[in-house]
Amino acid sequence: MRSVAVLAAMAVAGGMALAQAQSNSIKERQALMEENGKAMKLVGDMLKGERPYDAKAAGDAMQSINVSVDKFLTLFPAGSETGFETRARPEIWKNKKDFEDWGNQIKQDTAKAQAAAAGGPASMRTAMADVGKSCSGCHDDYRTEKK
Amino acid sequence: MRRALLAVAASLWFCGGALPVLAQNGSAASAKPNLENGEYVFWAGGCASCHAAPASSRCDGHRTKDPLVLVGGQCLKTEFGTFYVPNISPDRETGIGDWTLEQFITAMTQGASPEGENYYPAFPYTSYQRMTRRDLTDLKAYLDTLPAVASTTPDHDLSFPYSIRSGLSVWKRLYLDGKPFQPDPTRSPQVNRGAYLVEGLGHCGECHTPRDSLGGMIVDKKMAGAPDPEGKTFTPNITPHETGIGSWSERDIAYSLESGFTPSGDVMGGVMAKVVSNMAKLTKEDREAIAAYLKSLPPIASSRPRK
Repeated sequence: MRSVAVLAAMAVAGGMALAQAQSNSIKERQALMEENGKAMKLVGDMLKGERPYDAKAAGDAMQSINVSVDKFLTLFPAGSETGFETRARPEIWKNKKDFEDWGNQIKQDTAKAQAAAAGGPASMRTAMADVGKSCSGCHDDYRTEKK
Repeated sequence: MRRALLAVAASLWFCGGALPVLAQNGSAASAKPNLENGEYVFWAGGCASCHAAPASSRCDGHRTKDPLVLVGGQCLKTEFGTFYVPNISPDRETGIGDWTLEQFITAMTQGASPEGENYYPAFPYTSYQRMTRRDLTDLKAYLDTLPAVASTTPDHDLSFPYSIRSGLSVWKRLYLDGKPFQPDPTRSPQVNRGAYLVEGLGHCGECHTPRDSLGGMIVDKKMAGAPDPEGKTFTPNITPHETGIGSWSERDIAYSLESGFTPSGDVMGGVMAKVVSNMAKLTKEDREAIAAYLKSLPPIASSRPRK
């Protein structure tokens, strides 16, 4: 009898931990996207002339997005579909493969942009156009529009 | 006075058909078309955004196939019903390959087909009417060089009374003024160029200006943002108001049109992603002109419903 209670308690605790993990996934992916936005802003400010062009910092910004994608793709466990004002579309869980393909596309484009950074603002501009296309492509399919 | 107006309105209704070709656009003497400019106008005008085939089986998806194959087939779902975008490739049977230049200009500036049928203003002729004859001529010549593909698209699926096409002749009296773009001599050439690109070719107001109950743009709220035609989201206010892009610099605007990124590092999606892919092909000077013009607009509070 006692063991049943222990098991039940463990199950409840386990369930809570799971729920916790799921809500953490949402917050973690939101935080990653926040960081990616900052990286894009940094490079954008350089290309707009708001701050001096710094090839190293621009390349690093692209690399940080590139690396974040691996982590990002693991942050969509079952149960993390809703909550915390997530803008994730349910299609993510239906078209996992396509969603991951977008992730790979971003990795390719940011890797190219990272390499382009050393070539100066003009080559960075061209590379950023492709990064922008894959960002908006994936967001169109898998992020809900702002209300 | 009122009675006189009514009489005029009634006679207009019975006249129907297309307006006579306006003097400014009517000069037949034109130099050899400039294909390079035609291609530039093609991108600035965003033709492919609607007339290229949809990339997926969803006709209202955001991505398209080859932007140079203008077979149509996308759909625009609106409160009036569903519009299907027609084939404007140079196919002679199903596209516009057999149109003369004058017929093309009439379609673009008066919203009327070679048969005299009215087009629905989902085709943004209320903006394209501002285009210069030079640009229209070059655009037609460029379109003629693109691949001709035979393909028909479904008829528009509209609710009554919008399904009655002849009602459009009245609509056009209300909302189509027939005036080509006139530069404002008190403004800089840059701002005037921006105005031409925004009001004419770029047809920005078609989405960014709210519409009245008849679907006409509300002039006093120009570019102040509007519910999107499908009613799900809000197309942002692009006037320099704090509820719009007041905090954006001209450089921010020009860069967003080039890269798709907002000043905060977010990316513009949806239809605007297609617009950006067009705007990115313009010269830096033209994107800067657009920015200068938008910043010169009167700031208007957004009519976006507050949450």
